[in-house]
Amino acid sequence: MSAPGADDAACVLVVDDEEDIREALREAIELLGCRAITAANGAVALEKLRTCRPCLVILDLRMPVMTGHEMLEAMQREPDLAALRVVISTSAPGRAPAGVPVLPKPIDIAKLFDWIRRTCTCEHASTSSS
Amino acid sequence: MAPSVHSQHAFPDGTTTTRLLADPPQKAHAVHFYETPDALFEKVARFVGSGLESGDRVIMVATASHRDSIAERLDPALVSRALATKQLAVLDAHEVLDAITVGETVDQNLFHRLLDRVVAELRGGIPDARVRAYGEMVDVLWRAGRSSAALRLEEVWGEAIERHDFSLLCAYEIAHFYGEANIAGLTAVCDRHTHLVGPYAASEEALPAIHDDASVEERIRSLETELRHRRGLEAALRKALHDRSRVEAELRDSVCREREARTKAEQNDAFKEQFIAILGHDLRNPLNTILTTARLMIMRGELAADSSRRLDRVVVSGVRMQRMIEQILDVTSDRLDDGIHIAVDPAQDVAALAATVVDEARAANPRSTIELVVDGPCTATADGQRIEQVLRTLVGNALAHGDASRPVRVLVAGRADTLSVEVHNFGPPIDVEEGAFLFEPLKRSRKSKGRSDGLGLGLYIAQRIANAHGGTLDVDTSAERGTTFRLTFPRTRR
Repeated sequence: MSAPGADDAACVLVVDDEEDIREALREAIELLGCRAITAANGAVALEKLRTCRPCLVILDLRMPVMTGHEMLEAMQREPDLAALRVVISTSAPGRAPAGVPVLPKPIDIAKLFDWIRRTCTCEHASTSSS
Repeated sequence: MAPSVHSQHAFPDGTTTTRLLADPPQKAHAVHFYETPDALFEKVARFVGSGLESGDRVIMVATASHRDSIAERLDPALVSRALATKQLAVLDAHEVLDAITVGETVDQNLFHRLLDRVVAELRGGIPDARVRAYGEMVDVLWRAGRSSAALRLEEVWGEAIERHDFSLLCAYEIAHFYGEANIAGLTAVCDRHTHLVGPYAASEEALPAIHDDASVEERIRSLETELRHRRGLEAALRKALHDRSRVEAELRDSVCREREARTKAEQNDAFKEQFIAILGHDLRNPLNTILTTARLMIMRGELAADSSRRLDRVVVSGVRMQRMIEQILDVTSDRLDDGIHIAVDPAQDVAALAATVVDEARAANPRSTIELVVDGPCTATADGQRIEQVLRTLVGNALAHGDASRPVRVLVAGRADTLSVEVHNFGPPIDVEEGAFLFEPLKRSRKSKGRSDGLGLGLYIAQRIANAHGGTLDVDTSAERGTTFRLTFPRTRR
């Protein structure tokens, strides 16, 4: 089901400190035929963004090492990253920064798929939409 | 003791304390207020002893313990001779009281009959033999709180003095007259006596007798009485001051204790709210995993129909649990952060939010009719998620509590400055008792039946969200009109 290839071929980057959530989201994304990569916090995510440009970043807010807010700020400082589509995935939508779309937890998979279909320009998403 | 009271004018017939005790005038009805029993025993012993020595007949009515204490201060030979020759009659105060009282009052006939017999026996055919008496019964009655009976007995003693021509010594413990409340009692006792036996004065023995002068006697007696009052008042005042400082100290202690308890309770409350907030946050993550994974399993279509249905139940229950956790977290953040936090969008389409909520509700309640009416421009500065949350609560309540056979209507109305959303249902009105705490947290009606979507926090949170938007949430309910919840808030924020 999952698309073969390295991280740089990924469509969606999932940033969440909860491994179970990361894996559940990865599975959901792969159900669409997309490739997902994961990161346990903002710092790891930024590191992965050096080598790949996903269509969408699904970003948790409360994380150790580097929070979602800190990662967003860091992305704003780099023109390459500032253009990336980000959706905040949080249990506390009220804490999300203004202007960034929110996908409240627990994630509604239908809404997640909507997001991926709308933002992913790679062939995986389009081929597996139904 | 003020010397003026014990001046040579103390008693017009020349009697001072010593003289009164040693040689009481016939028909004198004297009273002594004693501070300590010893002072009393000493005076009664002197009164009795001098009487026996001078050949007077003596009646002593006393309680056993007083009688013994008085006897200790007397010459035993003198006493035994007097008893043998019937010069001295000793009666028990309690026995006599029992014999002469009927119910709560002293019976004068019984008393006179008894005293007649005692006096006749002592005089033994010498009708003019001098008689003196000491009576403790009034003291016994007063000590027992039976002041009316004591005063009545004083009057009966007064009659007996007239009948038999003798002198009488009464005594009361002064402590019973302390305090302003006892002034009336003290005055009543003094009014029933002719002489007052005070403490001894240093110069007393040398005091010369003075001639009779009724007005001076009256004046001196009133001064004596007043002094007694003042001493009593002073003692009462001292006691009151002492009591007051003790009470004040106790009050300070209790205020201190209460303050400590309150601080502790406040700390406990803050701890509890923080604890609940942390607990809610921590419960969310595993629940998110459960729900996402369960939904994923359903979506993959790998399960048999039965298993899939069972998993649906897991998801529905998980969603209910999730809503409860969200409500708890809303309440704790409302309380800990001073209001519910909102993230506003300056051009939020509230009609679209209402449409979303109505669509969801229609899908979940296919047998109910839900109408949506939009009137006027409905964009506003608002937190879309939060407004949806309010509408979900109101529509959910209308479906749960309204008349299921009639439609629920949602009206979104945009005016120049304000935007309002009304959710109306038919059916029985909210009762008055319930209405009083409708917007209070954790006050879900005991009468509400069926499954509830939360913890009774929905309306409380909805109101707090309305407040956070600078608006209000109110309710109109009656049997005829049905129930309408109305959310109103300004379209733009100042």
